[in-house]
Amino acid sequence: MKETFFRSMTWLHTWVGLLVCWVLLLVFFAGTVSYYRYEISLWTKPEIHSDVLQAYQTDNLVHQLQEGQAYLSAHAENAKDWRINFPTERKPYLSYSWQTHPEPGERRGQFIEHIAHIDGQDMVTDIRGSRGGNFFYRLHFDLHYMPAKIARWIVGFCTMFMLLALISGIVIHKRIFKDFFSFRRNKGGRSWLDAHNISSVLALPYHLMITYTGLITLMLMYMPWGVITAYEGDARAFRAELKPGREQVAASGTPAPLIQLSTLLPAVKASWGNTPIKQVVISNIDDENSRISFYQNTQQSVTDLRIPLIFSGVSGEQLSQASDTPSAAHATHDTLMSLHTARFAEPVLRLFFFICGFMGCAMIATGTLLWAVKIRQKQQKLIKQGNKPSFGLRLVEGLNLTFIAGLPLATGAFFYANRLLPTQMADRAQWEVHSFFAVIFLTAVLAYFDRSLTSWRRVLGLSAVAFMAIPLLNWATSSQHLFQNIASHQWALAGFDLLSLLIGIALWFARRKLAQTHTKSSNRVAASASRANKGKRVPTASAKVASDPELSAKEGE
Amino acid sequence: MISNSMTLSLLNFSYLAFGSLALAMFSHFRGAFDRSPSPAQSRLLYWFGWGVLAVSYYIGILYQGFAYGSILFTGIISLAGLLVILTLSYRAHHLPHFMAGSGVLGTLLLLFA
Amino acid sequence: MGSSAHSGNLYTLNANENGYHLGKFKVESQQFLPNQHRHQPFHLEQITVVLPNINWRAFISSQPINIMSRSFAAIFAGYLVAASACGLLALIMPLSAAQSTLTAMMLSFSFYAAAAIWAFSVRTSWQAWRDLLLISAILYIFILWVN
Repeated sequence: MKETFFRSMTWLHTWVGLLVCWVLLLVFFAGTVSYYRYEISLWTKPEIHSDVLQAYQTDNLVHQLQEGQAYLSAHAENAKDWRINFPTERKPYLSYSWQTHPEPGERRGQFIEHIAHIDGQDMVTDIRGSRGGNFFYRLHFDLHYMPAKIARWIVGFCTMFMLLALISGIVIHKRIFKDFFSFRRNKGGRSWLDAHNISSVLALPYHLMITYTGLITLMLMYMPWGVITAYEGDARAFRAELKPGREQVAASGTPAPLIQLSTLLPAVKASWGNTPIKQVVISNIDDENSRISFYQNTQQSVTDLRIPLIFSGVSGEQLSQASDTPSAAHATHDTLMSLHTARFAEPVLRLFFFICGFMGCAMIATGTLLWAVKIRQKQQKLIKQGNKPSFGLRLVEGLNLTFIAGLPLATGAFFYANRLLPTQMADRAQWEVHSFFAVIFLTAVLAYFDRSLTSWRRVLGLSAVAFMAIPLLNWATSSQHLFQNIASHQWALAGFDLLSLLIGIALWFARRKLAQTHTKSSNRVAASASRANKGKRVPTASAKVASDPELSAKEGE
Repeated sequence: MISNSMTLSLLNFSYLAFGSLALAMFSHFRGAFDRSPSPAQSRLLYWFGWGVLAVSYYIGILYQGFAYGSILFTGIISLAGLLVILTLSYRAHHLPHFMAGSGVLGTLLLLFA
Repeated sequence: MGSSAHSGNLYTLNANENGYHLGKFKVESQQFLPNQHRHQPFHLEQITVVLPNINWRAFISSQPINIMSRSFAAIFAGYLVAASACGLLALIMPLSAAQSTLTAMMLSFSFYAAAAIWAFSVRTSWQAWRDLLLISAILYIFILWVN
C-alpha cells in the first residue's frame, strides 16, 4: 500500500481513530462514569440519605431474614420472585425487592424495591423514579433511543476500530521510550500530540485491557460461531454446561408452603464461613418447586462468577454443589469479564480505574483535537484569503465542541434534573435522560453556529459552575448535606459532592487557560511561534481544548 | 484488603522510579540539573529506576496476591508516570527534590503503617 | 493527433503523507480519442461517441479506491477469517466443548485484529482480498471436514 508498513500503519491509526472517535468518546465517558454507578445511584435517591444507610451485620442476619420474609409475604404475594438484599460496601442499605409477573406481551415484569430504615420498622417505599448510575452504565453499550441490538453492534464496531487504533498506534510509536516523558507545552499541534501520546501510553495496559474485554463481554453476540459449530447453535446447552445447577426450574403448579429462611443460615455458614451474604433470591414462591438461592458478597476477589447456594424452598435440602472449580477457560473468561466491570475494586483501586478511564477519554479527545488543529493549519492560507473553512473542518470542530465540552455539561444537567424535576412526575426517569441528551443537542446547535473559543469558554464555564454548585444543590434538595455526610462517614455521598466540586474547579481552570490565550492576539500562521496553551491536566476530557492563534484570529467560523 | 498507606507507599516509590528513569535521559537531566549527565550517572539512574519499580511490584504482589496486586500496580504506575511528566513540564528543577521526598515518604509509609 | 496529457476536470485529489482530503478527486488521463473534443456531439458519419475523459484503469488503482477496498477487505473478509477461525478452534481444541468454545470466542478478536492489520500491510488491495478470503475459505473447508 504505502511505501512501508510504517506508513500504512500511520494512515490506519489516523483513520480508524477518527471515523469513530465521537461515539468512542461517549462510550468511554459513560463507561468511566459508571465505575461509580452505585455511588451515583445512591446520590440520586435523596429519600434514603438519612436513617437508612447501614453496614452489613452478621449478628442481625436472622432477624433481617425473618423481617424480610414477613414483609414480602405481606406485600408481594403473586410475585415472580422475591429478593432480600443485604447491605454491601457499595450499596449500604437493606432492601426487599420483588419482580411481578410480566404482563401479556412484555418480556419481564416490574422490579419493585423497598428499602428498610435502620430501625427495622419503617420502609421507604416512595423513592423518586431515576435511573441513577445505571443510566451511564447502559449508555456505554446500549446507547439510547435505539434498539439495544443495533446499539451493541455499533459499539462493537467502534470498539474493533479502537483495538486497531491501539495496535497501529503501538506499531507506529517508534520513539515510544525516547519520548515517554516529553510534554512540550505551548507548542500548538505538537503539544496536543504529546498529550495524546502521554494519555495513551501511560495507561496503555488499561486501554488494551478495557477494549479487548469490552469485546469479550458481548462475544456471544459478535462471534457466536464457536457455539454454532460446537453446539449446533444451541446457546442454552452451552450456558448449561458452563453453569451446571443454575438452570431455571419452572413452577409446578402445586402449592406448598415456604420454609423459614433463617433456618438455612447454619447450612450457608457451613459452606461459606464468614463470607458476607449479598442477596437471597426466592423463586417459584409457595410452589413445590420453590428455590432459595444465596449469593455471596465476593468483595475483592477478581471474579464475576456468582455461584449460589441453592436450597429447596419446601424441604430446605441443599440442591447445588458447594463449589465447582471452574475450568481454566472459564476462569480466564470470568477474570476478563471482571476486569472490565471492576466490581472487585475497593475505593483506591476504583479511583485508579476511574483516572485511567479518563485518560482514555483524554486520549480520544486529544486525538481529535489534534486532527482539527492540523486541518485548520492546512486550510489556513485559504481561510485567510476569505474562503470558508471546508465542510470537513467545520464538522470536526463542531463535533469536538459538542462532545468534548458537551458531555460534562450534559452529565451536570442529568444530576440537576434528578434533583429538580418534580418527584411525582410521570416517566420521571426518562425525563432525566432526556435532559442529558437535550443538553448535548443544544451544544450541537451552538456548535453549528459558533465553533470559536468563545463557545468553548461558554460551555466550559457553564459546566464548571454547574459542577461546583452540586454540593449546594445537594444541600438544598436532600436531607443530608456534605458536612453531615462526612461526619456520619457516608463516603459515597460525600465523595460525590467533593469530586463534583473538584471537577468543577478543573473545568474552571481549563476555561481560564482558554481565556488567557484568547486575549493574546496573533495573526501569524507560524505554528512554531504559536503560544497555544494546553489546559491544565485534569481528569476530564473537556479540559483538553485547542487554542491556537489561527483559531482565535478567525472567530465565528 | 490492601491498606491505603501501602498503596500510597507504592505510589511514592513508583514516582521515585519513574523520575529516575526520566533523569536517565539526557534532555530531562539537563532540564532538572542544567548540566549533562555522565554516561555512568545515566546508567546508574536507569538501573536504579528499574530496580525500584521491580521491588515495588514485588511488594505489591506480596501483600495482595498476583491478580489484585498486578492490577493495583498497573494503576499506580500510570498515575506515578503522569505525575512525573507533569513535574518535568512545569517544575523540572524540583524533580530531584520531589523524588527525594517521595523516597522518604514511601519508606516511612511502608515501615510504619 | 497523438495523445497528450489532458486532465479531465472532474475531481481533485490532494494527497500527501498525512492523509487525504475527503473531497473531490482528480484523475490524470493520458489518453483521449483521436479527433475527439470533450463536448463534440454525435455525428452520423463518424461512428464515434462522446466519452468523458476518464482513464478507468487509473481510477481503479487510485488511492481512494485502494483504501476503500482494503477497508472493506479488513472489515468483511477479516470478519470471515475471525468467524471461521473461531468455529474451527471450537471444534478441534483438545479441551471440553464448553472450554474450547469459550477459548475460541475469546481469541477470535485477536484474529480479527490480525486480519485487519494484514489487509493494510500487503502491497495491493487485491492481495488483501485474496489472502483473507483464501484463509477463511480454507478454515471453512476444515470445519466442514471435521464436522
